[in-house]
Amino acid sequence: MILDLIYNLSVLISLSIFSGYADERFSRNSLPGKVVQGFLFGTFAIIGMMYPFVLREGLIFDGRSVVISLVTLFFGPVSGFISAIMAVIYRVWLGGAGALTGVLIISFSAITGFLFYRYLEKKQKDYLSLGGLYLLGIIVHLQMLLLMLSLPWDDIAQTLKIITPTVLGAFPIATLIIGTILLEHRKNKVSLAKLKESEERFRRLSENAMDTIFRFDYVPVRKFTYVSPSVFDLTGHQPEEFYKNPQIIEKIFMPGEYEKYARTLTGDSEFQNVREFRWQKKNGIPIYVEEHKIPIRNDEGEIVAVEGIIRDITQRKETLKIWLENERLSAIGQTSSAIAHDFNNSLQAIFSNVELILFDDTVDEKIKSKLRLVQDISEDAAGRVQTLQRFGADNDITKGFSPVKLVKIVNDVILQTRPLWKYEAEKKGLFIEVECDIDETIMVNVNQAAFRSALYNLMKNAVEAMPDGGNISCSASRDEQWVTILLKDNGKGMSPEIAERSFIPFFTTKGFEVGRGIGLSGVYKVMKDHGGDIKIKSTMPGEGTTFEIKLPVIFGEEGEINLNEANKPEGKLKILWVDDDQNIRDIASEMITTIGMTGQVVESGSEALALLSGSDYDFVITDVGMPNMNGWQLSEKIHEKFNGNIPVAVVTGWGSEITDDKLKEHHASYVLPKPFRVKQLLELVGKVSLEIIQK
Amino acid sequence: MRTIMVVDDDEKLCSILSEELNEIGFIANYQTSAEDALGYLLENRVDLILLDLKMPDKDGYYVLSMIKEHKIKTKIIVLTAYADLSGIIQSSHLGAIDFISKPYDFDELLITIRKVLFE
Repeated sequence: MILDLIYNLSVLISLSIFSGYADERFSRNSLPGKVVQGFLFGTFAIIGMMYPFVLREGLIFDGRSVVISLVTLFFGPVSGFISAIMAVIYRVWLGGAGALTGVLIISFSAITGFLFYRYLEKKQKDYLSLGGLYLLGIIVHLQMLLLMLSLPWDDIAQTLKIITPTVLGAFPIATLIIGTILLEHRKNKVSLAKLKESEERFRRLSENAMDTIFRFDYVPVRKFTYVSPSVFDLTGHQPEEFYKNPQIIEKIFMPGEYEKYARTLTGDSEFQNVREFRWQKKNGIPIYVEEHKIPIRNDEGEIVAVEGIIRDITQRKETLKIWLENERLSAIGQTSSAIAHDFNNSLQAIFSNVELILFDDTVDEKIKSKLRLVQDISEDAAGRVQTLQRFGADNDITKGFSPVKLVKIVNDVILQTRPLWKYEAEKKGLFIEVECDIDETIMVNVNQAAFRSALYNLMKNAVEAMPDGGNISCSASRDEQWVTILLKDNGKGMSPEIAERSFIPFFTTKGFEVGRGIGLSGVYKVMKDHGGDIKIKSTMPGEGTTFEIKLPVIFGEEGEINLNEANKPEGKLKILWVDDDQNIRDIASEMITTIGMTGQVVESGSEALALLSGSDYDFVITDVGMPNMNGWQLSEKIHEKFNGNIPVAVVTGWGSEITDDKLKEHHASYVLPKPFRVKQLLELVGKVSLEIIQK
Repeated sequence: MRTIMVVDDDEKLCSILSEELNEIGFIANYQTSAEDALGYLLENRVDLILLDLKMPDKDGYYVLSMIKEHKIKTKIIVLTAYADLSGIIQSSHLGAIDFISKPYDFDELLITIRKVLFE
């Protein structure tokens, strides 16, 4: 009896192995899977019936109740039904006294298994607990004993006596054991499925994530084992490129940045913070990225891999940078505007005094040439004060254009960059020669500060492109439409790829640290703002670079200002000039006579208003920055008091920034920049005269 | 369509300027002397004259005074040397509406032309 049982049990264990194998091939949820399992369990039920414990001819006991109940429990009604039918057919074919009982036992085992199956389904459980399995065994076999009552009456008592201990003792335990094996398999299966599902979910997440997710293994070889597809948007490289060649990462860093990164790769600190780097896309466009990664350790605590997220933070960085820069600039702008005002006044005094001496025919030409130098220098200083004032303000360079000799600007920039191409170069033992060959008569209409800074950048680039020294030359020509400037160096030149991209914003080949300044994209913008253009005329690695700048030609020759008596206008204007600065007042009254006008100079707005009510003035010129009543307020009062009949010009260091709307708001008509030159004053007076004559 | 006449003794400048003006939609021509300009004016309608004040023989003032004398209906912008104040005042007495001091660029010129023609 016991031996038979052990035999049956081992058959059943091999069944569970087959079942597991079949389960791998055919999903239990598909119909083929259910059918296969049904046939498998049916077959084993039959095998069990072939070698049963025979009580007497036709009255056999075997493990079919265990097999049928379990297959129904684990694989559902379809499998249960198939196996049960197989077993029933076989049992009927065997025949004998126990045939009916056998068929009933098979059926009831299947039904009980099915009830348990439904119970699990209802409770939405994946599997039965061990206790549940044992309970199933007990119920099925109590049933079995009860069904013995269907045996021929004579056999019942004896059969029960012989089989009861085994059926109630061993069979439920067999159910438990086989069930456990199937259960273990099922548990593995379920957790694998869950794992697969969550992996799928994570994969979907990372495949669709904007950020790039990666895993980099250290062992057995250093390589990427996962890089999400968004890396293509981030870097322009496909994930496959990373799998194939992990070193590609070195190329992605901006030149010089990888080394810095690699140095920090030791120790745990690399995992503590989110870190930022400069990368470049495949097409060379630089980006900022942020890396957050975690170490994957083995049981010994050694790091075997890292997993991380890379995020493109270029937009954020640029916004922050611009914001910070604006904050900084407006702070500087605020503190400097007070200084600038005083500075402008001093410059105006220097400027005008020099100009007035230059108009004096009795002054020696030698002295005049020195004074012209002073004039140029103070003009330069004025330009610098203006850039100081522009900090924080909208830098609209399309205003404040003035005609200037090109050769003057170029020479200025050459002088300005002298420390770069002369002193620094000589320190390194290099020799750089700079030539300028530009016709004196070529004039351009430019915003001087912006144009200078553009040229400055080009010069600086040229110097940096000549690590072995060389020649920089600047020449210019003029046709009917354009003034064409060629800036040529014989440095290391550029590859066509780099040349093509050199006007893209933020593009630099010099890495993060060196590449400051407005860059070529800034230069490009300046030229466009001037109605001109810049392009690389020729460049070849090793043969240097030639930039070609085009600016619109301006018409007419520069005339001399002629202020001798014969040229003084007949229709004199009576001007009232208001400024709180003594130096300016001195200059102003001399200016008025020099240009052949008459008038009065006063110190404050209230004084001016008093004078205006007493006598007729054609025109008021007022400083803006004054104590008590500023120029704008004065302008409004004059407008109010004299019904807008007296035009007002405001003098301000912000000259080029003042909009027509701002003028209208304060009822002023004209702006005179500070410091101004006599020609600007003349032009202003000319406009006012026109207005008055036309009235 | 507005007609513009450029009057300047520098023929090259005249041709560039009138070409540019034609390109942006004005009907422009040029004359290189005061006499030619006046001759053309007697025969044709001109909305605007860009007049150089300094020309050999008969200068811009002559053109201005002749226009005034013959009561020719046209608007005049004078091109003056660097802020020549008395020139400006004298020419405005003779009917010039606005001035541009040399050297000037095309944009500046256009702004003044638009102001004079359309405001």
